[in-house]
Amino acid sequence: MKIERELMRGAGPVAVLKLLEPGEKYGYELVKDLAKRSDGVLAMGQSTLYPMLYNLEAKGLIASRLDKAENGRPRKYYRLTGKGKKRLAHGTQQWQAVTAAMGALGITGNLQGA
Amino acid sequence: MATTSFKRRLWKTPMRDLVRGRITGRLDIERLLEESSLSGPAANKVRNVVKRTRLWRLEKVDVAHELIAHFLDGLEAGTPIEELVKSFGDERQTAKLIRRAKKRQRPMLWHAFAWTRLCFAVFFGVYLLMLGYFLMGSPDVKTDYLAIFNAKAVSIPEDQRAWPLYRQALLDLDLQREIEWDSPIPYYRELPPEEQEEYQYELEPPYRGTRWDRLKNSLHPDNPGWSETDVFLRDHADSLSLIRQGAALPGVGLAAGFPSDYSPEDRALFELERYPEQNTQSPASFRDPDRILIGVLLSHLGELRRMSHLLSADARQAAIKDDAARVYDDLVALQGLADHSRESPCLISELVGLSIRQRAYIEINRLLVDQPYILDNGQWRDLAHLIAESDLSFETGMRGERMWFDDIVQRIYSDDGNGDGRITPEGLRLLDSIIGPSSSVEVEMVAGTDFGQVIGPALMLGMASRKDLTEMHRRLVGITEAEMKQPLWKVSQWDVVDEEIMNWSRLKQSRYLLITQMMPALGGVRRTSATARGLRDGVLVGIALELHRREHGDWPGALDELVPGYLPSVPVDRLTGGPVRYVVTADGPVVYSVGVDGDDDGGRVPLDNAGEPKNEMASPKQFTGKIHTRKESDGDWVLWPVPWED
Repeated sequence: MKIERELMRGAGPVAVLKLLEPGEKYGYELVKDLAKRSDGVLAMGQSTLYPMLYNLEAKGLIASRLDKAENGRPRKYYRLTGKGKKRLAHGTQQWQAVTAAMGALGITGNLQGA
Repeated sequence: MATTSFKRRLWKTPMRDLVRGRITGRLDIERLLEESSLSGPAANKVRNVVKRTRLWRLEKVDVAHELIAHFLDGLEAGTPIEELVKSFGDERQTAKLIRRAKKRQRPMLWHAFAWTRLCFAVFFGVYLLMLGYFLMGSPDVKTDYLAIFNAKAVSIPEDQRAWPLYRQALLDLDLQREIEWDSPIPYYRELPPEEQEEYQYELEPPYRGTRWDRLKNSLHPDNPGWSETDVFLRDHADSLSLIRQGAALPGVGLAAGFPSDYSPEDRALFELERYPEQNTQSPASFRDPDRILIGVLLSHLGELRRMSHLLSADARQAAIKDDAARVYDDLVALQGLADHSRESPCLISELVGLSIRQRAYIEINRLLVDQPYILDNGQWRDLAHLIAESDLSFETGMRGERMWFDDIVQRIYSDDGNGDGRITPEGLRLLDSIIGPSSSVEVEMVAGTDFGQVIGPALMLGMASRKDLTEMHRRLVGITEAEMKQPLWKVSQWDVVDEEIMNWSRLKQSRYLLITQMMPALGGVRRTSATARGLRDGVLVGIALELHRREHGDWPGALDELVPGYLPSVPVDRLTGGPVRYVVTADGPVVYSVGVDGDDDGGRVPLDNAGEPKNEMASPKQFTGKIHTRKESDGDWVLWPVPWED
């Protein structure tokens, strides 16, 4: 299922921050994790991911460092900053509230009971 | 690994590396692609996206590293290259998003510069639009204020117009004729040596000038050169008679205008031959910028003044010859000339009228003191009534001031049909020519230049709109008119409008430039008006005192005794609101105001800095208490008999 751009614009950054919560990741890793953990719903290509990462970095929510991968190639790793953690907490609350509200309306949650 | 030329490596090395003496070539994206072994569509994707981002070279390298790593990570994870390329997304959109995101990461200084540049661009764009808007504006002259200005003059029936008689008299008198004479003008020879230096050219041959130059300083029997004047008056008795006849008519009947509007005789009389190119022009439309009301010629006012001088001199000559009828006729004619000068509604006309009236008051003073019996009771009464009925208000003049202002406004502003408009390029040029280089406000210094046109939009924003300016002018003129009606003893500020304008900021003065520069000085008008009214009070009391003395054989004990037989009421002291003071001295009665110091000094006038008596109402600074030294203010303002200078 392809998510509307506007919805993705709201969900994408929170999802990326959430993926970085356990520890630093590189770009391709994030693409794969997003597709896998969201069952493809929040899958995004390079054209979406990298501008999003640059934006999050510009806002100080994530930080990057250039390092060498196991094979010796240069690779950029992203990690959550303190500010990013606060934003993630806030974003999580927001989405929980939205989800609960949507559930109450019968849009999310136990759809059979609706 | 592909080899690259030194020149290419040098070109692809960032400045920071070069400064450190290192030729790294790390900006070479092609080399990065080659080293990554990424090829085909994936390499093209990276190449195209990076190119389209139009970022700084180091930023491009950063993006290239990231994208290459992404493809390689995908390949290592076993994802086919086709799938990776397919999932990449739109190149153009990717480049655009990356560019936008990367720019957000740039330093604060860059952002400040970018915003500044954007602001300048927006400002410049808006300014260009405004310049176009400004340049498209043009005045819409709708009202022929000159016609309104001349309405009274042209309404007078032709056979009731004084101007043809005045013109004939003036042409006969030929006062502007250049003449030569054998000796210096006696007046200048009588001056103290230090003052003679100033007029040295008048004292050295060839003695040349106009006939009026010769006459104007010898108009009193006590003046050196009176004998020449005496002969001149006798030789031109017919011309003076024409003036008297004219002064008895209802109006001058001369429409003021521009050189080309006048008849050849009037042009010659007003010496307009100096403008031959204008003389030959056919009458232009009132919309022509050259026909702005403020530029109208009022040459006839100067002629009226000259004629009043000659009538005064003629009255003196008649008094010497005991020609009572001529004395009376001259004094009556002076009133007529004063009334005629007010036919054109403007403050200048009013001031000329007042000066003629004051000349008549002085003559009456002189007669009442020196030759009171020259006129009989009936003549004195008639003169008193004529003087009492004269209008000394400035209402007509203020109406004219509004017309002058409104005419300028309609010629410099556009008209939106609702009483508003904006300054126009044509208006700026006109404003510059009206205000001239003497102004202290900087705006006009550029207004009429090409630069002024370029900065027109700024001036358009900085200067008041038509409505704003007109409303402000209406308000200030309203205050002026209300103030003029206030008696002086109720006035706390000498010139409330001038004070207000002086207290405006420079910005506000520039905003209302036309008002700042053209608002008439209320203080000066008020002083002239009050002085004239005081003199008139004095003359009327003087005539009443003379009539009382003739009937009762002595001066009255108090002015109350003149009421109602000789005066309707005792005049008010214009500085205090109380009755004017009266004292009978050995030289006769004196009528006076207590003066600006407010205390009764028995009719003694103050002394000026040189210790000379100075009989004046008050200077503005004295009046408002800014200068109130004992020397300058200690004394009274004598209304009758007024000390005069010959």
